[in-house]
Amino acid sequence: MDDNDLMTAVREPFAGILMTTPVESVVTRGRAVRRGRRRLRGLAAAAAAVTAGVVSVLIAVIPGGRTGAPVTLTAWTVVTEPNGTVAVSIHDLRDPLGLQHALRAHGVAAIVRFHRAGSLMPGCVIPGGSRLAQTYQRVFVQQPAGRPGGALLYIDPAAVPRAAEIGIDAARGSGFGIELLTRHGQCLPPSSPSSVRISPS
Amino acid sequence: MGPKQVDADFAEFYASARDDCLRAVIASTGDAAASEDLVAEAFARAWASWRKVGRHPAPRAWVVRTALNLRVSSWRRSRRTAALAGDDALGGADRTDPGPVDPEIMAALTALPERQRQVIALRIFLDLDTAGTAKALGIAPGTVTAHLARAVATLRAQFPPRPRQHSPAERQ
Repeated sequence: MDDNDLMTAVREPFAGILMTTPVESVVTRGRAVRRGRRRLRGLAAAAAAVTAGVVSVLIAVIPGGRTGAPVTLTAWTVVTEPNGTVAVSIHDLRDPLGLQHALRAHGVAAIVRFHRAGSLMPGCVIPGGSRLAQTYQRVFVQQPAGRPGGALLYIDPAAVPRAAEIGIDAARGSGFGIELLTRHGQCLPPSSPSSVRISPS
Repeated sequence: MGPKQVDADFAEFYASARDDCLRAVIASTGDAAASEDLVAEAFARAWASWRKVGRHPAPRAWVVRTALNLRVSSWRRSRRTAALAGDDALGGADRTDPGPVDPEIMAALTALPERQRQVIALRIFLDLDTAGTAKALGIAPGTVTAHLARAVATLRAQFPPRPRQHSPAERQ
């Protein structure tokens, strides 16, 4: 038996098998399939629209849930927490003047400077245990527990000494320096080349 | 292409392809009872996507492949249902019913591994060449050749050559 004979031997017993379903039934079912697909596509589009809407509302509402009008840009975010602490997130070193104005709008007088990579300016000396160190601890409050991945800085505006302002220096790849400065941009005494540095988020 | 033209084209395709597609699916699955429903559903889906399927290089293969995929989906559903019901015996999707086909032929086909059966079915009933069979099943042409060779060898062993009938003229 060659291949053709074999194929014939297998094919022949099937010769009597005929499809009995009329084409009208198939087309009717096909219409139902098509309607189902359109309904699914509609549902998917509606779900996508609802998701987009919810995301937009969350973006708008979540910062607003805290007291104070949030200032949200892609580069940085400033939010006043219910306890009066100002939370600052910096995502990109852009628009330092805008951040400075936003901080002032939230009650924090500040000088913000973004530098070229590797050119972070030397900061102020804060002798350990000094009153100045205690002031720093009160002004730059620790990130609240249970809020990992939160803001980069938490500032208590009420703790900033009169006639002082916050200095924020940042350079790409060099971290951030935060200081308390006089209104003339000088370190609060005593001063020497050092800085309170925290790692960027 | 208007709706009437779609219906006319599809009706023509259905009339010419339905029996071969059904035979190919029965040969692939060994289940005549379930195959007609699978093929009818596959044709319904072909109608629903006729603008795409109508331009397919091998629309019959598309229908058979869809029917086989539907069987797999149905089998998975019944398997889940059986598992949820705590029933070890799987449902009808695992049973085979040769229907009107010669039980000896069907037994020989169902004894083949599934892929070999599918290759044989597409070659015999849809007249697909190696490349077409490979594309329809989503496997390499070399794999089709290997499956076909093994399937033919197995079937040949089960169907020994019959003594040739000589006509009176040949006997003289």
